[in-house]
Amino acid sequence: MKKVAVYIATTNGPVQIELVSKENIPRSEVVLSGDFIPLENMSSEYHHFVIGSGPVSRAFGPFPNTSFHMELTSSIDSGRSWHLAALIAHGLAQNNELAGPKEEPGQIIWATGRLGNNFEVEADHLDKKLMLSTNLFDYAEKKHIPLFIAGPSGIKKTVLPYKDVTVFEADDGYSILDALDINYTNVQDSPPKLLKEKTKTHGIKVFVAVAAGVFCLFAATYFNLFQSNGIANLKNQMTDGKEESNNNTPPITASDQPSISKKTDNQLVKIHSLKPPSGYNCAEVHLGNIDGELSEIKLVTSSKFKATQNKRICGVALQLNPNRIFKIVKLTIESGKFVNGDTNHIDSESFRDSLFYLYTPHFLETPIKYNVYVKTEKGQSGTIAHQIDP
Amino acid sequence: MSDGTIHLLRAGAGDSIVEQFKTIVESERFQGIPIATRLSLIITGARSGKSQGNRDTPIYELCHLVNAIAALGYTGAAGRFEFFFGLKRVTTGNIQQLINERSREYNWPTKEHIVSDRGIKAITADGDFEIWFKRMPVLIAFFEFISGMDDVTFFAELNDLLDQVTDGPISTRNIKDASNKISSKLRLWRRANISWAEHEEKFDRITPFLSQNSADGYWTIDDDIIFDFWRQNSVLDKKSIREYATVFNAFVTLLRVMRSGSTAEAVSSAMPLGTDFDAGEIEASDDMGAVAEDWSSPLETFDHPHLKNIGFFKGESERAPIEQLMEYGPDALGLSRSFMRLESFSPVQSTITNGIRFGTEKALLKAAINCEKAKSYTHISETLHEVLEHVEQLQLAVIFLLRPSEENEAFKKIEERARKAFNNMRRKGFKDKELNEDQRDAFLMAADVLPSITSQIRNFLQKLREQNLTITFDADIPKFSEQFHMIYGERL
Amino acid sequence: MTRFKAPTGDDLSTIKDQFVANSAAQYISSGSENKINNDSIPLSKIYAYAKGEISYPDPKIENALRSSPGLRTAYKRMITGTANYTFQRAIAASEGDLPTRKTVGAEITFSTSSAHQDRVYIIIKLASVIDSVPEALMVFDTEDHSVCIDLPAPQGGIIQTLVAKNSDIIAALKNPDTNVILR
Repeated sequence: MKKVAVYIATTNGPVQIELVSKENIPRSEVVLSGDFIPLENMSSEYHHFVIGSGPVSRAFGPFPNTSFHMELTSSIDSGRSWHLAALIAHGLAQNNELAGPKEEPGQIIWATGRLGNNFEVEADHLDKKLMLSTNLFDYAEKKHIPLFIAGPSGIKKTVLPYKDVTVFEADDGYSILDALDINYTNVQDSPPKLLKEKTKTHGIKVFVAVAAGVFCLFAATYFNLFQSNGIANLKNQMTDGKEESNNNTPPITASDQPSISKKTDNQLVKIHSLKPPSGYNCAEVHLGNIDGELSEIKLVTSSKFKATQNKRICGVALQLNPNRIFKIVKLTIESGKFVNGDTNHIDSESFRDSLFYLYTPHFLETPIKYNVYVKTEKGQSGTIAHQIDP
Repeated sequence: MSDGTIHLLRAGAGDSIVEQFKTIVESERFQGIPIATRLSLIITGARSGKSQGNRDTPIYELCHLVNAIAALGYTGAAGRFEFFFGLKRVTTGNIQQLINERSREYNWPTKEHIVSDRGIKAITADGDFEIWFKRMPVLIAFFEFISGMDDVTFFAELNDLLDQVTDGPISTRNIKDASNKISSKLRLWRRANISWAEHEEKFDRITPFLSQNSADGYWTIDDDIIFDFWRQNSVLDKKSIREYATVFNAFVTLLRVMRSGSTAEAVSSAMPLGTDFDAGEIEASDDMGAVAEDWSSPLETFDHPHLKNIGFFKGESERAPIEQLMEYGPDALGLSRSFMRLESFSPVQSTITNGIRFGTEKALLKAAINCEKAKSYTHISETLHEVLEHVEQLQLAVIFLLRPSEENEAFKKIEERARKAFNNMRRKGFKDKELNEDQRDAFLMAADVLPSITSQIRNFLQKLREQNLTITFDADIPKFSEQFHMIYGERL
Repeated sequence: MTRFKAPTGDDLSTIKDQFVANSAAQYISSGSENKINNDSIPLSKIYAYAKGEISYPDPKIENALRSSPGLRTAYKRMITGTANYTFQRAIAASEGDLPTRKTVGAEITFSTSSAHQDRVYIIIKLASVIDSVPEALMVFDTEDHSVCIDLPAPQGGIIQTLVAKNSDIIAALKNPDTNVILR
């Protein structure tokens, strides 16, 4: 039986996924066919793509500790639109249906799309990718190989002048797997939401968030609660009998004070300290062998978190508000260094389950000062700062 | 080559030293840095210039340097390698800058070390010891040389010994012990690897000759003595010294040794360093920190990578005619006639020996033996005049390029001449009036040495003016021709 | 003309020593100017090679190392000085005939590729995330002959690289008596 060749659509032309294999190695990797050296950036992303809560693990696993080796015909410089094709390739490979380099395929799948947390599919430059793949399409046509083109909505807009071509437009990865008749297990996943449902839920959330925000803003202004000694101030006011400037509003006693936590749903970014569980050490957390324990760090002002001492922590975890869609996430290290390596190029897609970990060295000599700037799709933005002291 | 000839270049152990030496002095990091002469003197254990130190002094300095740099964070073998092998350009300036930066980082001065404009001073219970910055390049080259001794088999032992030097706080005892052990090794190596015999032979020939030719218990070294010695020793049945250049060289060496060392000094060259005189140890000389520099050819500077790209000297017409004059330096002045003989007749002798080796036709050989093509002293003098003019113009052009940005009275006086010299200097590197940093450094290096080239040529020409060059040349032709006939005549 | 009091006895001996040393020095110095071909490599260049400043393999340097035991030992010593991790003799065999190696802070294990049977993964686990990460793996045999491979950057404290089973590095790693260094 002939196998299926899978191509990733890129802005430099299509790239074939020639091999997907399970390996007994700690980290998954992507290499070029015939080469030994992994593609560094892509391998790191791919590792998270296939294990744990990554799409491959969720669709075909679970794969808590399994690693994979994927081979491509050429490198992919940037972007994450390889996700969809890789997902399909994994699905085919599990049944030994993925065509290798020297095998003439019975079908060609061309796919583009990065997968979101809920398997939603997004991609850009669809026209360019299609245009740059005409040689492949011509080849398929010439060889009478059926062509399956998969991508997000908008892909159908371009009319392809080929006979045996199916263009599948979907907003989520599962529907494409269904269309290709690839079995998946859908492990530990909330049901994928259709766009309409998402919009509705989203709308409710927005209303709640706005309402909470207004209330918090009122509370902050009246009770000066965004300062660390806000409660104390309130108590002082009661003790001194001083009134707030708004003399028309009677003071509220501490007992009447609603439990307004500094943890508001409006908070765009939270920072947690990361500690090893009892009986373990930071090395194992850094290596990913065990999960560290998170403990939220308090804000001392609206834009500054309380400084943390490095002595008992393995690092910190940045948490984006899961109820927001972030357009910009920028991490700036003002002084000192995390040991993660490249922290200059993180963005919202670097986060897994809304979390991004920054590891600190065991011996910290000088403080690490950093800030995070975020901006949501809706235009909300802010910068928060934090410091880790030796 | 005949049995009786003393050869300069012999295959075997000597060649490997030459190879190793050449590898170091011609490596990129030492190119253009005048360490070759000083390094060769250290390797053979010669005392350097006006130094009162002994042949083991450089080892003692090296051990102190190792101790000092360890206190600047170059700890252990890794640190030592980084300092001694890691510098990309081993210049006094680079080393000084590096040490100054490190001394700030490590909060010098400490109880044990101080850094000054001159160098590093080590403060020990037995007294202070200073290592000058300008000495450090040759010490670094020396470290590299001894590391590679005996096909690099001494490397491990050397580093084990140097580890002792940095063990704990500074200790003169530790430094001396390590120095003694390294010195012993170096002595054994010299015995095994340097062909002393041929050099001893030269001395053993010259000294009785000088004694025989002295009436009053004084040795006289002049042009006639050199010529007479050559004349006698170039036609011996056994072990003749044929080349005039060899003889001239040997006498210059003797002069330098006689001048530099005071014969009244009680310096032992073979005794170990230490503090117990009765046990056969001697104190490291008090003035060891002040190791003076020998004359080295100022032309070496122009081999620096930055200067090579600038058209300071045309090879054949400008550098070659002064190469030997710069090599011998002040020694050429005191033996001006012998030097002119060297310049004129030594090339003739090379022509003869090459002619014999390669079977040149007899007529040409005869012409060479008759010195028909020997350069006249007048011609040599005229060439030197031309080169002097060029060097003087170079100096002015360089002064113009390095002119002060603010008003300067001294510069004003020569400004016009300097500008003219620059404008007329149609050579590579003399195009832009404004210099970038690298170019500026290159011209500063040249500015440092050009005056000594000029004065050396001027002084020599002054000496020549005291003679009638035509008469002396006409007198020397038959002398040399006759001697060449005696040496090579049978080949005709 | 220059005149000196004719030395005698010890003074003459001293002058002779100095003359001989100076003359020999000139021989070395002028000999080096006259010598045209010189294939020797300065130790400073070997050091640059040890630090990874010259790409591996350099044919001239490798040739020099092959032919000189002293140079090999010096090279190894230079590398050991700059190494992040040094592994001594392998402790126990695992994964067929490729013994696991352990040292303080790191462990090297192996895993045959299931995709390519003729290849094997070298897996290096670093026990702590350090600022200076190893960039090369070097193996020295008992005669200080060495093999070297470049390493990719660690991910999550793990460096893994795929090599051919019949490669020099694997042949060297199979021998438990070899020293392994991560530089």
